Amino acid sequence: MVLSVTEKLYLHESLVSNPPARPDGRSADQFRPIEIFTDFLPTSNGSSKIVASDGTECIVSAKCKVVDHTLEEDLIEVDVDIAGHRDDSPLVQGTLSVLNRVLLSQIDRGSLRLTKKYSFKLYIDVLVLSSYSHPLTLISFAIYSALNSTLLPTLISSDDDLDVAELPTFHDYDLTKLTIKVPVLFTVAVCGKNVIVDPASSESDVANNGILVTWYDGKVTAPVRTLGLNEDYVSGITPQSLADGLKLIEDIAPKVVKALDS
Amino acid sequence: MNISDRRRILGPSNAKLLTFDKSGPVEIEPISSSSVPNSTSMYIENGLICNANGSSYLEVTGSTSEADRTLMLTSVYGPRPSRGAFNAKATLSVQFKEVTLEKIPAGELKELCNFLSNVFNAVINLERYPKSGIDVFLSLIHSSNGSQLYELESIISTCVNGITLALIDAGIEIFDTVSAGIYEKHIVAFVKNGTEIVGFWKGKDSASESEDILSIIEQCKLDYLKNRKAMVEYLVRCNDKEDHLQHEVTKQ
Amino acid sequence: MKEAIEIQPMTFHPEVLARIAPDLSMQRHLSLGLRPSLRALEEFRNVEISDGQLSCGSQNSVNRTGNNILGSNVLKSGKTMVITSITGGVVEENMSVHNPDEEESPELEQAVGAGGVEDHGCVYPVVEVERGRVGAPTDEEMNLSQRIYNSVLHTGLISKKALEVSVGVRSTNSDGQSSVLYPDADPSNALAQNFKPRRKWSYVLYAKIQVFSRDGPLFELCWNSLLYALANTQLPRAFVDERTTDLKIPVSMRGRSAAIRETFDILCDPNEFQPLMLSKDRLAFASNFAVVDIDPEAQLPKDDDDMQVDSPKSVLLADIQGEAEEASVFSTLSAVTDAKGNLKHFKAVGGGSKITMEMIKRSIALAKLRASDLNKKL
Repeated sequence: MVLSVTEKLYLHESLVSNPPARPDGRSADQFRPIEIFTDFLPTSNGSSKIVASDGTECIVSAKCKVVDHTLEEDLIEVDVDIAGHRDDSPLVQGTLSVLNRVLLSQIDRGSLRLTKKYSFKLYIDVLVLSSYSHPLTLISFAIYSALNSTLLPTLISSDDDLDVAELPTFHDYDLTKLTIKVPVLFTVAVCGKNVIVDPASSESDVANNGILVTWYDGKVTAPVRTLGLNEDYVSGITPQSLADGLKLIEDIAPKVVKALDS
Repeated sequence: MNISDRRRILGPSNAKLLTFDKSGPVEIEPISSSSVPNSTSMYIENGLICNANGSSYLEVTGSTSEADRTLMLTSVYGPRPSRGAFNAKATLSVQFKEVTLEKIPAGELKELCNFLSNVFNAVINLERYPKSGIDVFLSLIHSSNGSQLYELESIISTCVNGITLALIDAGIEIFDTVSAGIYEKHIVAFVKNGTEIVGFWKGKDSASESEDILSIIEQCKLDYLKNRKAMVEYLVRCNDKEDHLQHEVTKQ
Repeated sequence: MKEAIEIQPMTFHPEVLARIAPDLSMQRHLSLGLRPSLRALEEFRNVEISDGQLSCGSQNSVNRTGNNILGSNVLKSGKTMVITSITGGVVEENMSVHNPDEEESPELEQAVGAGGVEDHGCVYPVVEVERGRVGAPTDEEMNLSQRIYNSVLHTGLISKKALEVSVGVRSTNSDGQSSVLYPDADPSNALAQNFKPRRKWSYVLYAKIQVFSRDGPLFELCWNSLLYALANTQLPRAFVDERTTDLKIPVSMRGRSAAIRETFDILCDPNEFQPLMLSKDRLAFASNFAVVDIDPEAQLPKDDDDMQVDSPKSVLLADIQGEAEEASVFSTLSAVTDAKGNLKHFKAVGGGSKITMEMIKRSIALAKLRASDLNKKL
């Protein structure tokens, strides 16, 4: 929905007020309700579907392949498709690059190790069916739950193949759960002195700036950066707001991760 | 499917790029880790590109060693009329290109461009230029950093400083001189004497993980103040020179 | 009719006139004996060159790691700046059936000296002109690249021989210390003799030419910049590891694991470089000219006493620059020559003004002079 200039101004005023009055009545640290379904694609190793209350919907599928890890540098490859956006649009390219970099730099290669020579390589396909707000948070939630429900074939051959060359062979139907720590990305909107988590599209439209925060293994890690959520209201933020944003994520991230795990 | 680029002469397809041996002893002068941090030096020259509306050339020598250098040429085109739908304010676009060596992955460049256009959306008085586009082109001529292939941090801060100077050269109205400061892999772009942040970038984890974010910002601010001082001094000197020339002309 | 219509003469700033009426601006300047660029008719722009300290082989390079630029040049002519960087690759040559030893036979040496196009090496140039737009390369960029490619190939500036890789062998002794032996360094060395590569490689050179502040025709500037860059190009020594010299590795190709392939990994020595051998006698520089007819109508009124009856009908201009000049000349000449007048490339476009024999002679003479000047900067 496109808001008029006056509507935007009104919304901005109410978000700047103390405490922020969000259009859907949430408090500053409250997420929108989301629904997650996992493991519903029979042909992929792990899958998840996430639906947010505003109708944003995202499907993630993870597939694996056995590769020689001495030759393959990157063991994870993400592909992002957002309906209504061209593949070369800044949003898609930026999202893709952030996700690839976060997953590659944070996820431990050892957890995908199969034998001394071979590893699993994960191909993660992200499809955003409809998006009304910045989709990065939802995508990262979906990837988180997809990877945590991923089942990989069980290895039955020896895991030491350095001296005796042997191609890994797998059990016919037994699967092993992938245990892996997955980073989660949060977007925070800054409006005046307030920081609000999980901005809806109307809130993004009037935010002064956005902050992208990565949460991995119980702490805030790189990349952390400011993120443009709109072009009309963007302005500078005080150092305190940035610190507030990080603090907010430090407070709520453990709860979010706990909710995703359950 | 193999799509060959028929617009450029690319040479034989089976050629491999030269790979330099990394195992052997490489003759690198030991990096003189000067104990004084932020001893960066900056060379500025404005208006090198005559067919752009404004341009700046920045040569930044890094804090750690002589070998750590970033050379960046920034040109600003616009405000020029944009076709299509009516826009109440100017649209800003930022393009980044590596002129000599191409080592930065394309996705990362897109992220960088997004980040920079977000920073400058907050700073340029876009309302003043309706129905127009302002296009910024960054040409990285050279970037080196002893141990790594490239160091995005110093490139980003050079970009921010370069764009500001080019915008000033083009006479495009900005609210304040933006400049960036680096501290331990954190880059912060400040305005208003360091009281406001228009851009924050932390791409990699740094050693000072436990450090408080506010103290990191404080460190970046010191670097920002130094960079801004250098830029303002250059601009004032240019202005003086121009005034001087004007004076000469009137005397004749 | 009492009221006479008063006509106010319109005056324009020189830059504005150059944009809206380039030919008028040109003619008015010519009648003063000048050109719109305020140079004399046959005056060239000064050219400043430096290697930009970009290449990893250059002595005073700022960094040598993570850098594979082999040669570079920054050329400034007027406001125009051309940055050329040469990078390299290795390509495997299709070996003919005959023994590699025969290669050294004198007849073949002579054949190389005789010089057909097939013995000439080349560079693969990509020209980019900054113009404040993004998108596919423009016609101008494509034409420039192709013209430079053709010119390098046909001048025979680089012989195929200069691009051959003389592959060394790295051997590691029991202490774990490795050393590299090159075939030409010590011919008596047994190890290097033992290793006869069954294959041959040659360097491939890529040139990236970036132009800023385009201000007139570019071929000549790009060509000269490329030439300077090639002149300071240093090729790294390349070697293969001893252990891989006689190695056959089974490679599985799509399920069929029988295919046996030799894999040589050619590595380059980051410390040892050899200059690229250019054929010195074929070093030539480019310059351009234009012929303009003088339009008697557009001349500034002259005093009666210095009225010349035999004023020239057309003039030759050297080194075209600027909007007024480029837009109002249609007959152009471009010459690539060395100081001795060995012409490598000549292009004349007669569009509008007649190019006379005298003008061609004059332009070649000027181009020779220019080439000897530019040659001194090498």
